Amino acid sequence: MELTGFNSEALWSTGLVERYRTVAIEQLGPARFERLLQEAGQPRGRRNVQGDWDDWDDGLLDAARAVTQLWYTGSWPGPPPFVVSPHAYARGLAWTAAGLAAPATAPAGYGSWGHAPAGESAS
Amino acid sequence: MTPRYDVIVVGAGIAGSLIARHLGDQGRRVLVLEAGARAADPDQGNRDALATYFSASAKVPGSAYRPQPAVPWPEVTDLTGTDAAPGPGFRTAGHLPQNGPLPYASGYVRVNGGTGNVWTGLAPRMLPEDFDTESFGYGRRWPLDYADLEPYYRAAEGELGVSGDAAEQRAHAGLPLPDDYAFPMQALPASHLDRLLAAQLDGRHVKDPVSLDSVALRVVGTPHARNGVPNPEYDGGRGYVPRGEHGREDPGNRCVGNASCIPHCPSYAKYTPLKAQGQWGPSVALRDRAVVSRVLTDGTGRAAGVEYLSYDGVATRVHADVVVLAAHTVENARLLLLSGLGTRSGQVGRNLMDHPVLLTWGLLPQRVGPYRGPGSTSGFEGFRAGAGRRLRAPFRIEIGNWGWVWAKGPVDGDVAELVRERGLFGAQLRRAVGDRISRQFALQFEMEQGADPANRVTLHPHERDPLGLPRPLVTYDLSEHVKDGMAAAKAVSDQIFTLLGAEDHTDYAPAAAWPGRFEHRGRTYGYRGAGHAAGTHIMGDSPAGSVVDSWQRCWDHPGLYAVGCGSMPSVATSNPTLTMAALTLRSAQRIEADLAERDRPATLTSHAPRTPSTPHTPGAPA
Ligand SMILES: Cc1cc2nc3c(=O)[nH]c(=O)nc-3n(C[C@H](O)[C@H](O)[C@H](O)COP(=O)(O)OP(=O)(O)OC[C@H]3O[C@@H](n4cnc5c(N)ncnc54)[C@H](O)[C@@H]3O)c2cc1C
Ligand code: SF4
Repeated sequence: MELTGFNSEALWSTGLVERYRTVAIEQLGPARFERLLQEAGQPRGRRNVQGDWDDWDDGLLDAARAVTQLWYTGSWPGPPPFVVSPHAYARGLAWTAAGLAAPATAPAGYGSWGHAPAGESAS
Repeated sequence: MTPRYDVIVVGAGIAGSLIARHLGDQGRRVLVLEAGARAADPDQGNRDALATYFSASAKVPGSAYRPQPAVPWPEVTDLTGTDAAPGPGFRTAGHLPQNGPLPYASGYVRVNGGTGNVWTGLAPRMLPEDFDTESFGYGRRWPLDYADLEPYYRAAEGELGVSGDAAEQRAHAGLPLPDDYAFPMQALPASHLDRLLAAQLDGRHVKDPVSLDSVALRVVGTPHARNGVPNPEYDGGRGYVPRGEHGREDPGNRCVGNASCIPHCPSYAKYTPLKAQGQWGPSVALRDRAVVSRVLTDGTGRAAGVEYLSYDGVATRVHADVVVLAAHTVENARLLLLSGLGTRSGQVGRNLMDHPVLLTWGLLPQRVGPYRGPGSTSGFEGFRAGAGRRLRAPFRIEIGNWGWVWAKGPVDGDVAELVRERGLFGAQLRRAVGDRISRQFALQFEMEQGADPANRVTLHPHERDPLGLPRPLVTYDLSEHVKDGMAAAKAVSDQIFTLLGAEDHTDYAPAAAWPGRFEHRGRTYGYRGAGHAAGTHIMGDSPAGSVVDSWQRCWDHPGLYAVGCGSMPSVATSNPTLTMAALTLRSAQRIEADLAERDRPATLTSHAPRTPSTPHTPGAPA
């Protein structure tokens, strides 16, 4: 998706697309969610993201940010914030972006912390 | 009345579970009363703890447990900083109201296993000179010295299963370990961050602007109570078998790097009291959801038993010859105060200590790979000892492996900042988040805080907990000595950041996130609490000035022990639990000796020549 910087294959592989759709509709209301889908789904050329989004109104921008944060952390930013599920916590894209795993979700074995971190996994 | 039990232990945390295990091994009838709930099925308990932790928005120390209204505990999120005039301030909510100038910034946990479930598991010893800081002009002298405690340190390292490098501790942490000493397990591997720092800093010097010392930096591995590779040389060549789930021997159990030691180690690599409980003999019984409300004494002041409350407030009395309070620093003091015991010295509840921690954080030029492995695996030990202690609090520097989590909260905050303040989306966001998280590191400067009678726990005059018991009330402040220590620490940090070429992001703002914030010589500092509550029933060599003797027996109350970090006259710069465990094992030996004395047939005591009883506690040196 345009918002997250991860392609749809990466997003689908988390198994969270449907769940997040439900959460976003609940939190944003169906109308705002639909608008966000249309606007954010528009194919655009190379662009300065911030500039491009300047023509969005506050409501839409806020919705886009909340959904992006949801994908990056597994947590709806609120207020009040809540973690969608243990699986959502584990699949937060922030960890993928940093080439890491969320604590306690994928222990890499004795002494693994002593190695140089793996490169950011391409997805 | 015949007591049903030899010993009642109040609290099934690290101290209480160890005492119960040792007395149970001697066949003593031990009743352990635990305020918190015990998981009916420990395996389910492990899974529940993990799920609860994953689902918690604030991943605070208590976040693996659902709150239990009848037995509240203070959580770090109960404190909020304020900006109100005349200067930095704070607000408290919840179980631990406070009325001092600065906040006591640590929490604890009341579930079966106590704070011992959620601790990090760092297990260094105190230094010999730590047992007498009066010679440095602050704090209180111990009635014991390092040599007295040394055999019990060994025993505690065996009990808790400590991984460490004796040669390194000898050479670079200042511990006089004998040449043939081996820790149960070999040192845990250093983190990648430790290695990066060692490569750039070992042998470099920094200036401490307060003590004026020039100190050589060196990254030194920290002993851990978590499983590593067993040491064949341990115990005179007998070796060591790591213990895993339920404290059962599990030779292959290792720390696998979950990086969630606070609050929960899903792989049973970190020591918790549940391991001691798994080794309890048949004569030990645990009653959970039993909130002790006071200690009962007979007419002479001797301990006779306790009264406890169920969650619906029903009171029950139980009797025993020995009562051991092991409810942790704040709750032990509260129980003594609720019972009106140990009052002669006027010191009950006083001398509350912690390790106030100055945090500094930043980004290294290269990728660090944080959030892997234990919270800290190494530190800098060069600021703990020596004459500099006269001028400023000494400190231990822990290298923080978990990014900025302690300073700034989980990575959600980084994401929010990059999305909302920097306005990033898409590929730019992905790069920025990856870059931000993967280069994070932090330094944790743990200050020694000297015993000060003004820092104290009392009973709140009118606030009650849900069972109707007065809440503990804390009055707390930091001395100039500690503040000067923080000033020195910040200056040391600045030099380290420069040597590393690191981007410093340290900023004790916003006010709300830094309840522990103060101005000192024109600069603002913020601190957190390490969770190392100590003092409140400190030991000493006379009933006039202390609450317990060196065996942690309450003066004036035969049969009553108060064990835990609360007995420590100084908290030193080492994480306190190993020392506390050593003291506990020493007390277990004493209790067994008391009971053996009680059981000695009258004819023997009156006619036979008195031989000193030399009880042998398994695991403790004979
Ligand atoms: C986040 C965190 C990290 C830490 N990391 C480290 C570390 O790395 N190294 C280190 O040395 N120390 C560490 N500590 C400190 C360590 O956890 C404590 O020193 C240790 O747990 C104290 O053991 P205890 O048995 O005295 O108390 P606890 O482990 O807290 O046990 C006390 C027990 O008493 C029970 N209890 C309380 N009141 C009552 C009552 N009225 N009736 C019956 N039962 C009661 C409680 O429910 C609890 O089970 C850390 C602490 C925290 C909070
Ligand atoms: S790093 Fe992981 S496996 Fe190791 S002790 Fe911590 S939680 Fe347990």
